[in-house]
Amino acid sequence: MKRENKVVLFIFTFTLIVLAAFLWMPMIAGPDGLEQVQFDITGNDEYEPESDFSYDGALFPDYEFLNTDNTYVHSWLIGLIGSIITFGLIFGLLKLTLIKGNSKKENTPAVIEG
Amino acid sequence: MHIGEGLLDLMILIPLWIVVFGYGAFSLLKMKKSVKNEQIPLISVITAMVFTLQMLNFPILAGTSGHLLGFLLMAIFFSPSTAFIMISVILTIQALMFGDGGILALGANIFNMGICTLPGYFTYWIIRKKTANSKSENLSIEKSKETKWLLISVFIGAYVSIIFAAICCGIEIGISDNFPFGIGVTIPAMLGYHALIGIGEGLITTVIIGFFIKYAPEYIPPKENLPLWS
Repeated sequence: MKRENKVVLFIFTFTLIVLAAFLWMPMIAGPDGLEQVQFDITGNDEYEPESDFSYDGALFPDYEFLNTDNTYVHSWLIGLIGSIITFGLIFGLLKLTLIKGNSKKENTPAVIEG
Repeated sequence: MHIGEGLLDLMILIPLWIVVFGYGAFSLLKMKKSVKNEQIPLISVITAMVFTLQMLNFPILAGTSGHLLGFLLMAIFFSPSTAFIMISVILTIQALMFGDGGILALGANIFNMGICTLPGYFTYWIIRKKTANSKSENLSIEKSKETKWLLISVFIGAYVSIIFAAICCGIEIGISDNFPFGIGVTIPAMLGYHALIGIGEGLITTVIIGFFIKYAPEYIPPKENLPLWS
């Protein structure tokens, strides 16, 4: 394995472990900036006016997973699942985009000089 | 800063979707030219890392929390165009899989976090261009004045990116017929909290870039190769 890839894998793994094992402590369930603004203005931090469109297809709504009450396990697992999906999706998208781009370049007819 | 379903009306959502699709196509074209095959694992890892970091809320004030947005972080490593694609993927997964932010509002969220944050990158770009003097490809400028300015530019850029994203979000909600208050209320309210969240964004981004400067400086583009768009 190239040194570059080792560094990448190390950073990825290290980040996930550190985040999951240590940084979960300062995690709070309080509203974020936008939610707090909604709360300050309307009295409800999840203010959602009537909408004609509603989407119920989320696999893990509000980052809920296995209905576990253990915040530690829950955060760790959902973070891991999300990271892997994100990794896979962007990796696939870039491969497809770049391979398509490269194959076009390869198919460009060569100009024979002389 | 994820806008939920129903907050914005269609007169706001449709133009934002058009802008996002247009800029997305532009970014993909730019990426095809600038991204090399060997960069794909790193881009994927950084995207996954930002996704994870976005899950971690840090307390800012009386029960309110903030979390990393990460646009500047990704733009520094690659380019604003690549960072736009990366943040779009993150927000799409958050909306579709975790119900974080509305589906119809996804265009607005991508606009806020992938386009409105561009002034933050330009701030970083300008400060670095004006201050970095190194001609070294490896950026071996530890403990030097240049490193200090690089970190300062990262902090200010990250802070500016949050402020502009918050202003855009405040304007969109304020002018929406679905929200009972105007921009006179929404913009100051958004700016108030995000002025503090921006400090967190700046600190986290600076620490991560500082880590790379120390251990893997080759990943931070030198001044000569600093991309403005591509």
